[in-house]
Amino acid sequence: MELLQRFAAGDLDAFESLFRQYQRDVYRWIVRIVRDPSVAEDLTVETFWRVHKAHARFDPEAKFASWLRRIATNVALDHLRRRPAYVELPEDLAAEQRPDCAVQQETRMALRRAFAELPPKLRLVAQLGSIEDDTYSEIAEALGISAAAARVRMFRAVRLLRKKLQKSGVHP
Amino acid sequence: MTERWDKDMSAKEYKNGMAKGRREASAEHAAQNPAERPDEKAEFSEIRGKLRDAFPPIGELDDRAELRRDLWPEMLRRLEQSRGLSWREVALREVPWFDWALLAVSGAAVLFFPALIPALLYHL
Repeated sequence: MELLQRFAAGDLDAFESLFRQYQRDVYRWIVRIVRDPSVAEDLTVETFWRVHKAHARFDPEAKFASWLRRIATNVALDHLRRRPAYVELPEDLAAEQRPDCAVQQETRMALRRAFAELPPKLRLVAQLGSIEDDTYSEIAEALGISAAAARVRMFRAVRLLRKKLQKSGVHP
Repeated sequence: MTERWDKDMSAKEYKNGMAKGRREASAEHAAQNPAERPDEKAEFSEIRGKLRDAFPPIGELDDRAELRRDLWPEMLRRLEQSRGLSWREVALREVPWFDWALLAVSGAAVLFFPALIPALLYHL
């Protein structure tokens, strides 16, 4: 029997094979959204836990990687909903790269605050599209929406960010 | 068709209709192509640059983008935990809080208003 069919039938060995095959991809995807390695590890396990629970609903003819990525995205999105996205970057690292003046530092802090206040759905699209350089179609597939809808979310995120920055006295 | 429009609508209505059509078409275009206008493109790239400055892409920072350990033992522990759980633990973990709230409200209603029991049974 094929691996995916065995997984759908509830075979634990098949699940382990899939876990070992995809854990790095899932982690890599999640860490780009949550930006915290230890949280990303927990969420990777949570993703596979949901995958395991939903094995009976998986169609072995479907693409496992896409299904997995969608679940991982939902898990990361749930995390963003529960906690604010504002994760302090290691300042030493940021400082190493750029000698800062006070104004730049202030702009950066305002942007981080504004970004943390974005609705999680918009934040996720802005994170993947603007920062990590993913394509609209990749984001759309992960979220289960159309590429046009992903573009609209990006547009709304940028507009909202601009508004929030202007409100806090920073002119982007 | 144009003639009929001209006949049925006053000039003002026709003008308003045209304006509305243009507005809708423009909104639709903006929604579908958010960054196609030059000023919007500039706005996008400016914000994008600032975002990347505030949040450097994970891959560019260090090796945090790569998983540094095998997570299977943790997964296995979680699977085993779920198998070894008592029904109480499973219920507490798996049943959403609002189901418990609903149950509590129903219980209180039955306790304080026993006359509601037939109505509750009817709705079950």
